[in-house]
Parts: sequence; structure tokens; C-alpha cells
Amino acid sequence: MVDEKGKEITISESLYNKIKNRLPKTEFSTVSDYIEYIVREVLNSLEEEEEKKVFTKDEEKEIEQRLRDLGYID
Amino acid sequence: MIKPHGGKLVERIVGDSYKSRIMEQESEYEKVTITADSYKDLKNIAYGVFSPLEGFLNENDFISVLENSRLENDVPWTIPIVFDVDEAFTQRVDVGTDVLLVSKNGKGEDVIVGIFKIDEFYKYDKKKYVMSVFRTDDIEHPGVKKVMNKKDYLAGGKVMLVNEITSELSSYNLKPKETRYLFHKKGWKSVVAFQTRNPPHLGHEYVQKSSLTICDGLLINPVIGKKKPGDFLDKIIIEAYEALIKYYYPENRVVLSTFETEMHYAGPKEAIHHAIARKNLGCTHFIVGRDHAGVGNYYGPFDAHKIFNNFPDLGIQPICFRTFYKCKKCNAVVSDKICPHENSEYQVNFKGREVRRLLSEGKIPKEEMRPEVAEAIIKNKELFVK
Repeated sequence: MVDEKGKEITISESLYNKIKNRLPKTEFSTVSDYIEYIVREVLNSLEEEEEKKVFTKDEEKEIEQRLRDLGYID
Repeated sequence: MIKPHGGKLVERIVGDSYKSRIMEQESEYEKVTITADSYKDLKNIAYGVFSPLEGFLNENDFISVLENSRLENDVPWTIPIVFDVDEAFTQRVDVGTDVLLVSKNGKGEDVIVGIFKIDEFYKYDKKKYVMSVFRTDDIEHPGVKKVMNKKDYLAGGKVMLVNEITSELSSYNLKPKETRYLFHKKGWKSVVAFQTRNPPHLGHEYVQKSSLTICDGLLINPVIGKKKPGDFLDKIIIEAYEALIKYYYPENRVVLSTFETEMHYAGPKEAIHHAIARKNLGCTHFIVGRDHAGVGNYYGPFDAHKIFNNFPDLGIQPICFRTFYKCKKCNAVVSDKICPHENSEYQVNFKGREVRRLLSEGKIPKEEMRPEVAEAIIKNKELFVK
């Protein structure tokens, strides 16, 4: 598939046809737009599942003190 | 906890030794006095509110934002954060130079607030800029007017915060690291953000509490800073919310913190921008009302709802409210989603002007506002920006 400024990729014809047949039930007008939406959604959910960063002990101490000074923590 | 936009929380504050060096050698640097709005951008970049931005947009990102509503690396971004300069500046200052950014403090004194490593200068098409961001080139639109009055070149490059200017409300301005830690400490997994520019009436309370029903915590995040004459003073908004939280919200479910940013009035595109900032603050949900960040009749009332469909990878969930009002039949504040009496004789809309009039006369708008909230407002002599 290709769009004005995009890159061309290849998918199987059967999958292409399956998506194309589904288009009328969606808000998308092209197979490219629909696939781009789905891929973005999948990538985002994968990123969300990755390990979350936690605060270091020093950072915790510093932030906690400031929040206490500002009255946000008792 | 929700990941910052683009994956990493940006923090660009100069360390003590670098700061001392800058202050000692300040006379050797080129200096530029920046506007209050540019200072807010600098601060929001430096503390990560605008993560993943590390500076003012370079040309590739700028064009990508206008054409695709995404940075060059495909991360959603809808409002260009740019630094405009005139042609003389581009000739006087070499690319690669570190420039000191200067702003006025509350006493009108010059303060070195930032250091800007200029990577490039580029000319830009103002018409393309406004048509993309505001969907109009009507000079009456305040955002368009501002862009059209910008200088003819933009400077791109990374910035760092050198000094922060404090104000009487600085203690309410929590940074993303602080809100994230606070939410973590409170054990909140889901946090909904509410943006406002006004003291709360019963309709606002309804929207916030409806959202809080499905989330662990609520961040009330009023936009403060430059205002139009006739707008409520920042201090009034804060005091009104403090009263509402004290008397009408469960303990440990709400945080009040300010959001210092320029309003662009870009409607739907600004709704995405506001959602991104709240994601960086650690929020998982963002309340989007009717005509969010709109002005005049430039945008449809629900355009700011629809635009979220274009960003499946935004990483923060909008909670969209169409209409809320008092229903005389249901005898409650309701929304069109839960009340069948919209557009009937039972619907009573909130009257912002009437509320303002009563408050300015020192009276309590009993039908629209909690008495404790109104009292917190009318105990002040000055309510509005002059």
C-alpha cells in the first residue's frame, strides 16, 4: 500500500481483500488508513505494557519533601 | 503509571555548576528578551509538561506537525511550539550559538530564565501555519492574529531552564515529576484531569464527579497566567476550588494544581495538546467538554471530541461531555446521556453571565453555585482582571 508521502509495504492479497470488504463498516475510506490506525493502536498498547519507570530513592526523597513543603502531603 | 508522551519524561534544568558559569559569563552571551508566553513554553519544555519536546521545533518537526499532526518521529503533536525571530537576528547570531533567554519577574526586573542552543533558522508560511492549526486565516481569530504578528523566521533548538520566576501562586504549580509521584503515593492507578478557566458551578462539579466515579483520582488543573480583561483573577479560581474540595469532595480523591500555558484557542487541535500535557502529568483520562479551547464560531461544538478518533496511539483517554444542565423534572444536574428531557421545558442551562453579575454584586448565585464556593469568591474585593 502507498500514500502520498508514505512507504510502500506488502501484505497478502487475501488479507487486503478482507480489510477492503470490511471498510464500509468503518469510518475509513482506504485500506491504508485503516491499517495505519490498527497498527498504531497495537504498537501503543504494546508500549503501555512495557516496564514502567519507578522513582529512585533520592528522587523520592526530594519530591516528597517539596510536596510536603507545598502542603500536598501531610 | 502511565508512560510520558513519547516514552520519556523530559527534564532540562541546568545544574548548579553550569548555572554559576552562565551567570558569571552572562555578558559574553547574546541575550533575547522573551514574552511571558515563550517563558511558559520554556518552563513547560524544561519540566516535561511538553514531553517529548526538548526545545523549540526545528523545521522538519514543524512541517510534520502542520501536515500530519505528528512530530517527525510519528509521535502525535498538534500545536507548534516555536520561537520567532526577525531577519536581523538570523544575520547577527550564528547557528550553533547558545543564546540566553531573558524574562521579566513580578517586579519588572530582567531575569535570565533559559539557555537556547540554536540549531537552525527557517522561514515559514504563516498562512499554512494558521490553516493547519486553526482551520482559518481570519485575522479576527485571536490565535491567527498572534501567528500573523510573529516575526518572519523561526529558530529551532534545545533549551534548558536556568531560573524560574515565582509568583504568589507558584506553590500550586506542580511539575510532572511531582504529580506523578503524588498519584503514585496516593495509590491512584487512573487519574482524570479537568481543565478550567473559571470558578466552579454545579455543572462543573457534576462533570468532575461523574468522571471521578470511574477513576481513582481527579486532577483539577486550571489554566492560569495571561488573561483577558473581565476574566476571573487566578487567585479567585484557586480559592473557589479550594472551598469546593474542602466541603464537597471526599478526602484524598482530588489534587488541585495549576497549568501555566498560553491559550491558542485552536479548538480540536488544542484539545489534543491539552490532553498530551495532562498525560505527561500522569493522568490517564482527560475531560473534554463542548467547544473545548474554542472561540467564536470557528469550530463545531463537538469537533474537539471527534478529533480523538484520529489518534489511537495518544495514550490518554478522553471523557467527552456533550451537554450538562439542570433538569427540573429529574431534579438534578444531568447530561444528555442520562436525562431524556434535553431541549424540553425542564432543561435549565447554566447562566455564566448571571453568575458573574451576582458575584460581582457580592451576592450568592444560589441556583448555580455552592454557597461556600460563592462565599470564598465574594469575600475578595477584586474578582476580575481589569
